[in-house]
Amino acid sequence: MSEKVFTEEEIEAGLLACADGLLADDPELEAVVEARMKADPVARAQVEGWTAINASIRTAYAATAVEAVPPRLLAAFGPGRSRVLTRRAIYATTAMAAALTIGFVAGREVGMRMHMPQAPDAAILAAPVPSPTPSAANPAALASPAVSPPMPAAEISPHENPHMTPYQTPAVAPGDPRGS
Amino acid sequence: MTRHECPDGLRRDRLQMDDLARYVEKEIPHLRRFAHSLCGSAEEGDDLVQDALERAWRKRHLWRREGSVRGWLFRILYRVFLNSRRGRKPPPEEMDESTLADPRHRNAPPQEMHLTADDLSRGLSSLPDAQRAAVVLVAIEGVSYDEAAATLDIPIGTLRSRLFRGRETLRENMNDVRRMPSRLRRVK
Repeated sequence: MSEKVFTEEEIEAGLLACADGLLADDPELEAVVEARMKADPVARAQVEGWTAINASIRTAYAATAVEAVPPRLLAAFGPGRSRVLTRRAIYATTAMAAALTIGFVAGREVGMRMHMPQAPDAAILAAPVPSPTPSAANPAALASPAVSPPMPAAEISPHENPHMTPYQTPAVAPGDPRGS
Repeated sequence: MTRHECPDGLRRDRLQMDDLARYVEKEIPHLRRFAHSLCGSAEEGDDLVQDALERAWRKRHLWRREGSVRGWLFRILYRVFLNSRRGRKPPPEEMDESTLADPRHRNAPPQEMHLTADDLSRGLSSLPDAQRAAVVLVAIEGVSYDEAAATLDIPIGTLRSRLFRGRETLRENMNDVRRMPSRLRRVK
């Protein structure tokens, strides 16, 4: 009967399993792993380290397995108010309250700005008033109302501005009965 | 339909649900231990257990009666844990099977392990969630790799690589860094 040959991957997996005490089902691999550990001190240290880590984890959390279970956990598997749903409801309520508060504050602020008289800005008051005389430095004065007096509002007849004819009602000639 | 006309099927379901509740109650200490080690704090762990039990109650119709209650509960707890951690940390790096066999990963000198509770807590919390779950599940519950892989919903090769990597990181964290020259730093 030929001896089974294990690949390096299988032996590495066997070293892991050895640290977890899971090699009992496979005596052939167990023998190979033990031989490797005897021949290779690095592999042995590795397995010993993993075994020590496992033992430390078991020791660290051993008390949790024997202490009294909190009542809220005993009641959790059953009909009742879900902690998750309760938490979601609290989040939703908080978010809604925050949105309402922000909306109220923002709305009040905007309303106050719209209704309160604005104080003149000091920068605007301090700025020099442009001269109404047109010049190279102040070309805007050409278009200012001070230079170009406003045209008096007057009705323009279609005879004076023919291009506006399509947009105006027909003029009523003097003596036309429609104008009386 | 009156109570006297209640069919046997419903009564049987009721009894089975009572049985399930009893089984679940027995598993709570195991769930707490796993949850505490996953979360790193008792309070957060108990919150996780409560969330998992509430989810199990809502999904109780999905429990396959021939299956292990512990495995079912552990799977639910781990999923709830992952959901709660989503977005908190980057996904853990995975290492394929060939990495396990790489002799360059086995060149650390022999050493004594001196593990204090603080060292352990710090070391476990430094692991990615997926590696920590694999390490503590196998260490605490002593389950087979098949069961652990099924609980974590991963292939067995992935479980082995997470175990290997997580344990090596713990060894590295718990020993003098000078004595662990390049073992896992190169992998990171």
